[in-house]
Amino acid sequence: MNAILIVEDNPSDLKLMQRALRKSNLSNDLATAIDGEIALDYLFGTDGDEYRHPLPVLVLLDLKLPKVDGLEVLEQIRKHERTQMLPVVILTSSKEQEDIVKSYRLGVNSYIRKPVDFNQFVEAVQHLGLYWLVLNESPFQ
Amino acid sequence: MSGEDLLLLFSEFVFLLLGIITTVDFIRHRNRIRRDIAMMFNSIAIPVTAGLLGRVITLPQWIGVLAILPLFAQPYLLIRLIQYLESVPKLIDRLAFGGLLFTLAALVIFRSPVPPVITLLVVVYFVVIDGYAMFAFIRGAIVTSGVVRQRLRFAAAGAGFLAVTLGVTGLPILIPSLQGMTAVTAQVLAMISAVAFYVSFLPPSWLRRLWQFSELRGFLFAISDPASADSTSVVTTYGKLGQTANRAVGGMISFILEQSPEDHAWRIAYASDDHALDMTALHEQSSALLAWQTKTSRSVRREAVSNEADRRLLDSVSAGTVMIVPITLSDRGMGLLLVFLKSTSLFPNDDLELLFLLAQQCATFLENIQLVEQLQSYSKGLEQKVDERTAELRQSEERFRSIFEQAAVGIAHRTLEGAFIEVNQRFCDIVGYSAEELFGISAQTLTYAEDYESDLKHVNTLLNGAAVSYTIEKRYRHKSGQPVWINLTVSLARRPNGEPDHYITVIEDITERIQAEAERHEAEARFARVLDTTAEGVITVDMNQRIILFNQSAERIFGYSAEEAMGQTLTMLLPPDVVSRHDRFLREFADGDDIARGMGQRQRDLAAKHKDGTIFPIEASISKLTEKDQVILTVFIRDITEKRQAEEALRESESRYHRIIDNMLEGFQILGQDWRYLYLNDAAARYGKMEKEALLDHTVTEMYPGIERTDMFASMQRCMTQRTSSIEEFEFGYPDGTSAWFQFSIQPVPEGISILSIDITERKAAEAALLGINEALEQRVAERTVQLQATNKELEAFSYSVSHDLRAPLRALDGFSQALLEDYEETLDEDGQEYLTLIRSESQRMGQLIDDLLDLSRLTRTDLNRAQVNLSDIAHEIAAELQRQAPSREVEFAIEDDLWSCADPHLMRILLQNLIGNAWKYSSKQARAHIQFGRQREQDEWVYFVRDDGVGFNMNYAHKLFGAFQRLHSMEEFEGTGIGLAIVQRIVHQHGGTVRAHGVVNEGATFYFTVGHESCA
Repeated sequence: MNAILIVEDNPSDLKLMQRALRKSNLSNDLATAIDGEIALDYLFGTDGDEYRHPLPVLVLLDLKLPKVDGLEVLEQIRKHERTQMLPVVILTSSKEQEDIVKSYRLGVNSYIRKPVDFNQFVEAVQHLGLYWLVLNESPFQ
Repeated sequence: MSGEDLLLLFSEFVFLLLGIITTVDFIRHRNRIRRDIAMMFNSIAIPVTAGLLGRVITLPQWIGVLAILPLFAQPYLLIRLIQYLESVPKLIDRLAFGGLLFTLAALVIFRSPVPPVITLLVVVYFVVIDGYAMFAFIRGAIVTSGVVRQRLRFAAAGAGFLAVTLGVTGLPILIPSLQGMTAVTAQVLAMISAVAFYVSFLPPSWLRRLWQFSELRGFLFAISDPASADSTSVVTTYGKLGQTANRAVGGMISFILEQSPEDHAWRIAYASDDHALDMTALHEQSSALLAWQTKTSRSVRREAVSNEADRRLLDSVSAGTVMIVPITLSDRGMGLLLVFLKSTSLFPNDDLELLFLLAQQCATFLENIQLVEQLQSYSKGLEQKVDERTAELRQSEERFRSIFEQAAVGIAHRTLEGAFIEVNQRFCDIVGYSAEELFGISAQTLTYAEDYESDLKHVNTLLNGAAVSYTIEKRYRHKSGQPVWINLTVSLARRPNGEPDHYITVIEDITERIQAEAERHEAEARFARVLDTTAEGVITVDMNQRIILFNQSAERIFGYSAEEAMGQTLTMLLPPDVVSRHDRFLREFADGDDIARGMGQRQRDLAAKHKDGTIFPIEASISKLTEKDQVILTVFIRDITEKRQAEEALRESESRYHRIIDNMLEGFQILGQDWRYLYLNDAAARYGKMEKEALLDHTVTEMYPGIERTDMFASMQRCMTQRTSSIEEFEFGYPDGTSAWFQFSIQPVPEGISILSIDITERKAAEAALLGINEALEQRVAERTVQLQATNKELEAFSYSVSHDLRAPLRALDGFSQALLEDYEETLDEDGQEYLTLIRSESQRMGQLIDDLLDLSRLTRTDLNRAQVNLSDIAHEIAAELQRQAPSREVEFAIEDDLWSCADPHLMRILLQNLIGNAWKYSSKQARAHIQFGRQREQDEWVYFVRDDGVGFNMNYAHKLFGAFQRLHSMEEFEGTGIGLAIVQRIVHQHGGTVRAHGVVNEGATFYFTVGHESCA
């Protein structure tokens, strides 16, 4: 089963997300990238003719990232043929209208704001997993 | 001879008669139809004749056989007749012909006796063909009417009975026992058949007339049907004629043609069907034209067509026969009736005759219509003429009446006894009585008793013929009792025999003229009074200089009374030294041509002498009036002592102003038309940096070379030439190179122009300084704006990172605390668990605080978009939402309707959410809470308010209410971050409004706010 790619620079948040995903009983592997550059390398980096990693089933993307920020990562994903139909969910602390509009303009599939309350957070991640990995019909299957 | 034989004889005789008459008819007319009819009947008549002859004389056997032969052709010949009625199916045609051949063949082969079977076949042949003929005749009778129909009915009967006769004759062959009975029946049937044929083909003329008459009667009923509204119109009548004709002869289509009287062109007046007709066939020597010219009816059959025109006529409606009937009345042709038949007619003459009768009736009917119409139009013309005459008469009467009524003079007709017969309005106006009143009184009522006698004298001159009329001025007594002066003219109207009839009185109101004369007398007296009151002394002298008029002003000026002055000479009013000169002047004027002139123009002053001897200055004028060869001189004199004194005062005042101008601070100068300095004051010389004396009488351009190129000079020149004034500022450059600013007020004056100048050099310098300061200020504002924008940017970046980064640690705090609680539940005691729970709830509150702070800061960053917004609607929605979230609470909302405002709808929603939400929250301890939203007028401004009856607040803390994160209640009591009212205040301030709160502890709170504008319009 292909992995879920989590792009998150904050180790605490990363840990919490991993915990939340674990609690929601998803069997997918979790791949992590702690900045935009690593995320892009994960998706597009090659060993010769072969891509280094198989395509993840879902990308959970933070907006504020070192080096290459989340919006740019999203833009690259949508630009490449390999990934342009990949489900990408923005998961961020921001609820600035500007961020939401920009994300959707770049073709994000969902925009979720990280709640402070951990229980709500778990609930949000569970819903995410349920929706994108179980209910949603992917173009790659 | 038995009855049986008699019957036989009768029917044989009838058949014989039919044969003879049809043969004669054929010989006379010689056409195919008649030939075929003759042949058919002779096919029966010949054997009958042979039988008849055989009874009288013995005929050879062969003659009997030969004579029977034509009988066999009877069915075939009958079919040939049917062909004139309708096209016969090939089968029948062949059957008829085949039967004929078969019978002949049988006769030849078997001679006599013929086997019964063959006889039976022959009988069947007869019955079938004659039976068919009967049905053909019936069909023909159905589609036609009138005579033809009747005749065809009888023909059908003839054929039918013939068929039955033959059938009955053949019956014994099958059933021999019927032999005796059938013979009698056949006799009877044969006789009926013979009679029917006779009536059909040779009807007696009385029967024919009867049939025709019933047809005509039907037609006449139709055309004169009173039920149809336009029954009398030509078109309708033609239509009925066409329809009747069609029906009468079984035509397929009928036309009625009319010839235009102007160009003799034919046109279709009626067509029973919408079908084209070749009208060209009517312009040649066709049968139709022939029928028209000879006024006879005729029929043309396709088989007998003799010329091309007739053929074309038939072709154009693809008909077999056309019947052409002129519609005439006593040789006057009205039109042509054309009836086309599919094939042809069996009785064309009858048809033509009937059509001719119909056409004639139609013509008679139309003629009647025309006569009636002519009569009607003639009577209409007469009526119109009578109307016109009546109108003319009425007009002339009205004209006379209006002259009478509107005349400017009063007119009355009176009897010889003096009673009024007729009066006009003007007469009534003059005497004040209405016409009705005048009719009730005599003319004497109007006349004053003392005038009777003279009136009588005048009237008598009229009555005895001495005068035709008389005119006098007299008075009438007005109804009001006042006298009316009138100019009266009376004349006497006489009857044709010369007897006096009545008086015609014409009166004219001359009261005004009489009054005017009185007024003139009054005016003269008034003039004399005016003369006395005028300020000028008026003295009139005669030729000898004796005073004859001396008015009151003259008395006042000279001190003499009028009595004293009258009759004296003018000399006594003059200073002694001018007497002789004055005397000469008066004589010259009296003899000269001038009528009036001023006096003393040649000398500077004119003087007069008062009664007390003082000499005083005067102004005088003289006028001359020649009256009855006498020259009267009138002198008008004004004492000008006071005027002289006033002139003196003016001179004094002028020199005072002169001094003021000389010494004032502003420069003043007057330049002549030639640009020379005529005047300038000290200040002007100082401004020009010249000596006053040096400038005077010199031109501007001389003194300031180059000045003609300056704007200043251009303005001066404009004023000089266009005579317009202006106020302008100029910089003036002196010859020494220095310069100064002046404000010039340039005015046109009679001599040239005047210039008032003020030195404004210092003011100019101050203005320049101020300009510099303003520029510096603007520069500074621009710099501050840039700084502010930068600060705003920073602030945005700050809140952005707050939004992102400040929440992350909180999430970690909460998350890991939860992780601890979940994973280390056993190792943590109760206190530890509670602490972690506290950490969690505090982190969550911190998150909420950050969110609220962001909301607040976001408000400052959004632009205000005002629109007409119904605050009541928003309030209702918020109330409904709150109620939905807590359905168990009992809250009564009182929201005023239609609170329209001009504000940002989005911000207004946030504001009301906070205020109504607060009201909801702080009234939650009430069992039944009341929340009110409304507005009130305060100092020309709408103030909106949200009121609740909740816990309220202490007014001592009112100032703290609107600060961010300020709370007056504990978290345990009411939850919340304390940001709501800060947001409210910010929104209100953004709208340029104000917000305030009023509260009483445990009684409730009210929040008031305004939004700046009241209407977006």
